[in-house]
Amino acid sequence: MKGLILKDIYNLRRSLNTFIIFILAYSIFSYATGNIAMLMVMSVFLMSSMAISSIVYDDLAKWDIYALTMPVTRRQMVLSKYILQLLLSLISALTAGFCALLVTSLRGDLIGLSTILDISLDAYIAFLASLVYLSVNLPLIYKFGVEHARLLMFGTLFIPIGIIYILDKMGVNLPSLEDLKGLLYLSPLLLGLVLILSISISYRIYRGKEM
Amino acid sequence: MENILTIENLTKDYGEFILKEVSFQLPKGCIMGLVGENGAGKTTIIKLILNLIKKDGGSIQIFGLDNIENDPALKEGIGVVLDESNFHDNLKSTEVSKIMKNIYNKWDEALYFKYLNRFKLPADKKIKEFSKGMKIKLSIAAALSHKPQLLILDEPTSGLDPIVRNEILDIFLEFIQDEERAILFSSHITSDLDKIADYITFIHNGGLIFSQSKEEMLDYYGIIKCGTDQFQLIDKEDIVGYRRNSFGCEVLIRNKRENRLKYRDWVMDDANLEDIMLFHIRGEKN
Amino acid sequence: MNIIISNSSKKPIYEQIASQIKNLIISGHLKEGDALPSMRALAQELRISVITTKRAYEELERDGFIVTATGRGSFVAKKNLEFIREEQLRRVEDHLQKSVDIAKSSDISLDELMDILKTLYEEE
Repeated sequence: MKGLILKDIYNLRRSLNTFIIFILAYSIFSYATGNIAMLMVMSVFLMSSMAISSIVYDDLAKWDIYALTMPVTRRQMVLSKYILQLLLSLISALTAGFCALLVTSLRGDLIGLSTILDISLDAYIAFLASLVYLSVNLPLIYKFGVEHARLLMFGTLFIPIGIIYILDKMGVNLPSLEDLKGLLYLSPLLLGLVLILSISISYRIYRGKEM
Repeated sequence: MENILTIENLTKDYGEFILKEVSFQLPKGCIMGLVGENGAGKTTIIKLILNLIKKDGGSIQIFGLDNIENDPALKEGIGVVLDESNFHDNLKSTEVSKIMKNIYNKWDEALYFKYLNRFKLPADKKIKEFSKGMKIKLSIAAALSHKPQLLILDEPTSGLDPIVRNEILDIFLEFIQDEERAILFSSHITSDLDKIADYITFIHNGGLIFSQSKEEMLDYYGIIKCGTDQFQLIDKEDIVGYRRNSFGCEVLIRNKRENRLKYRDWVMDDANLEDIMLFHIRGEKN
Repeated sequence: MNIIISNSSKKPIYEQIASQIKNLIISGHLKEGDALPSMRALAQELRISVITTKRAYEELERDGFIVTATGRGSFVAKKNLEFIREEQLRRVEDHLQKSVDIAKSSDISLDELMDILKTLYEEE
C-alpha cells in the first residue's frame, strides 16, 4: 500500500504546491485583516478534495486496472485513499494552525492559552470536516464514478447548509455552540464510526467492480 | 508442473457477447500467441486470467494453483503489459521504480535501470513526453524488473513501427531462454507471431477454434488453388473455407499431410497464419 | 557453423535444419563429441519456434547423429557412417516394402508405383 500512496503523492505534487501558495497568500491576508478564520476554512476546502483528485488522475491513466494485475488487493486500493486523505488532512490542519499562530504573534496579539485552544479547535474541526466530506463522497465516487458523483458531491455540501437555513427560518431551535461542544468530546469516536462505515461501503462497491 | 497456465472450460457471459468454454494450456518455456479479430474475446480471456473480471464458469490455474484463491500472491510472479501505458503522464521513470519497489517483493531497481538504458529511455523526463513506442518499452521494463515467470501482454506491438516491434520480439526471445518461464501475448499482427510464437491459440466469436503448436498448425493446413469446376471434386470433409475470384478458387484444406497424395496433381501451397485466420473468419463455408 | 533456412522452400524448417546438421556431421565439419548449440539458443538466433528446433534435434537423435543429455546439451554422436547409412537404407526398405504390399493387394502396377515414387522424390 505504501507504493499506492507514494504514487498519489507524486501525482498531487502540483496540488501541494498550490496549497502552499494559498496558505501563504491567506496568511498575508489574515495578517492584514486580523481574521484567521478564513485561513482555516480555505485550507480545509483545498485539502479535502485531494484524495478525490488523485482518483481523477487514476481514471485518466487507467491505473486501477493495471494496479490490480500487481500484488495489490482491492481492499488496499480503497484503504489507501482513506489513509492518503488522513495524512493530507493532518498535515494541512497542522500547517494552517501553525500559520494562524504565527500570524497572530506577528500581529502583536497576545497568545494566551485561549488563543491556542481556539486555533487548535479550528484546526481540529477543519480536520474533521475534510474527513467527513471524504467519507460521504468516496462511496458515491466508487459507485457512480467521479464525473457523475460531482453533482452529488455538491449536494452533500449544500443540502446540510440548506436544511439548517430552512430550519432556522422556521424558527426551530437549533442547537447552540454550547450544546455542540458536548459533541466535541465524542467526535473522535463518531469520526471513527463514520470512517469505518464509509470504508466498508466503498470496499463492498469496489469489490464487485469489473475492470 | 509442465504447464504454467491451464485454462479449462472458461466461460464469461456479457449478454450480447459470450466467451464459451474455452480451454487451452501454455507449457513452460514457450511463447503462445492469442489471435483473433477485434472483439473475438482475447482481452476478455486475459482479464479473466488476471482476475480483473469475474468468470461465469470454468477454471484457471497459474503455476499449478487456482488463480482466484491465490490472488494476489500469484501476481508476484506475473508481469503484465496492457495495451496502453498505465502510468500517469506526470511521473518520471525513476519515480515509477520507487512506486514499484513498494509493491513487488522482488523488484530489482538495478535491473530496471539496465532496461531503461537499453531501451534508451530518459530517466529524468516525464512520461507525457514519451512517444508511444517509448511508453510501451517502459511498461515492458517495469513488467520484467520484478523477475516474473509468466509474462502476459495484450497487443504489445500494435501501433509500433517495425524496428521497435523487432526490438520487442527480441526481448521476448531473450526472456524465454529460461525454460521455467513463458509468455502469453495477444496480437493480430500475424507476422510477429510467425516469427516467435511456439503455440497459437485462435479465438473467434468467443469460442476456441484451435490451440496447437505453430509447427503442427502449419503442417495441418494447406491451400489448394483450382478452377471452379475442379472445386466440386474436392472432398467436402477436407474444406475449412474457400474464396472465389473470377479466375478460380482458393480452398483451405485440413490434414494436408495425409491428403498430399490425394491431391497430388493439384496446386497445393502452404498456408501461413494470416491465411488460416482469414479462411476461418471470412472464407465461405459450404 | 552455418545454418541457412529458406522460408520459401517446400521442405519443412525442421527438416532443413536436420539435414544441414547431418551434412555437417557426414562431411566432418562437426566432429564426434562437438557440442551443438542448445535448442533454445538456436531458436532464438534463427528466430523460429523452439518446438521446431526441438523436432530437428529429436530427428537427429533418432537417426543416431547426435545424443542429447538433459541438462548438458546435445553432442555429435560417435560416428559410424557405414552403420548409419545401413540403418537409413534399412528404414527405406521397410517403408517401401509396406508400399509394395499395399500396391500388390490393390492392383496398383509397378509403373504406377514408380510414378508416385518419382513425384514424391522430386518434390523439393
